[in-house]
Amino acid sequence: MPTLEFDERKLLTELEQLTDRLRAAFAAACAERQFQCYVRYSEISQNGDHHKLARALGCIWEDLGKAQADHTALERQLEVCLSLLPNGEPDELDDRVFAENAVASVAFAIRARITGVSQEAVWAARRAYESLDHYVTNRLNPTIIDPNVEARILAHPLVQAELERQQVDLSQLHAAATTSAGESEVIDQLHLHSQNDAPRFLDAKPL
Amino acid sequence: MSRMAVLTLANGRSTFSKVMGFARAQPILRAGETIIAGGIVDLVPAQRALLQAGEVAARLPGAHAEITALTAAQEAGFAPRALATTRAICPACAAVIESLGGRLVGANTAVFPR
Repeated sequence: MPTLEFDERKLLTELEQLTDRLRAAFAAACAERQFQCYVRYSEISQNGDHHKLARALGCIWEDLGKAQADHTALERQLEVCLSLLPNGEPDELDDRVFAENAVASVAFAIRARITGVSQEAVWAARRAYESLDHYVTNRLNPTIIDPNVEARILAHPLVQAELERQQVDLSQLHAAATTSAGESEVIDQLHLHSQNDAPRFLDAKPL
Repeated sequence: MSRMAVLTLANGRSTFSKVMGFARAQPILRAGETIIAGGIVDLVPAQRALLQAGEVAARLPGAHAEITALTAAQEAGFAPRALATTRAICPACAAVIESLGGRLVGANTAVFPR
């Protein structure tokens, strides 16, 4: 099986072909999968509030259940998200990088829903990919990231699993867009799948 | 920097530092290669994807970009030649540069005379 890559341009093109609602759902799924990273950060550091982030995520999914976005509620949750970003410079030695990416993805998903701009959804996906790249790189612990190390990071099962999930999500959303399947049904499925995948997002496997 | 800027600048947040390597051949670096490093948070994939031929990414979690780049050069057995940063070199990094025989020639640049 060929190694999947995070191809931002291709992802943008594919997201452009979806409705605003479906591309925001793609972003929300990327955010949902990272939620446990924020829970871990807030519990260990005693900073942040994962209940608030859970409410923000819940607000997006609830809003995605409707044909029209509720801008007022979403903008309120966007402000909440920004208040949840870890303070100070990110420190690679703790969970702040993962927490920041998790919150940022929720914020990008909200913005994707409010604006319909595909790039916001791309950024939500990119943050998920960056968290896994960061996690795997830290475990490999190279001093220099040369092309060989780069290839090893990309090919790691955790990175490949997320890239595959993003691809599967996109396929399902495209299928929903081109068939009679209702958008609400496919969004519900995406929500469920992303919740199920969340505990495995940073699942440590031997390198 | 506002928190909003942290979101929007998420992939441009790193300080870049370059060290021109030369001297002994080593398995991970070649003479004349340029080391690119991020400060505090190492380069993310999108930044690493922008590297060109002859440029390699260094990594040292939590360290300033200057220290990351210099450490990579040292560990590979290369002497640094010149260093440039996108943010002003801090006093602690300046001290390390000087301890390695470097000389600051500007707020963002240092050279290492042979």
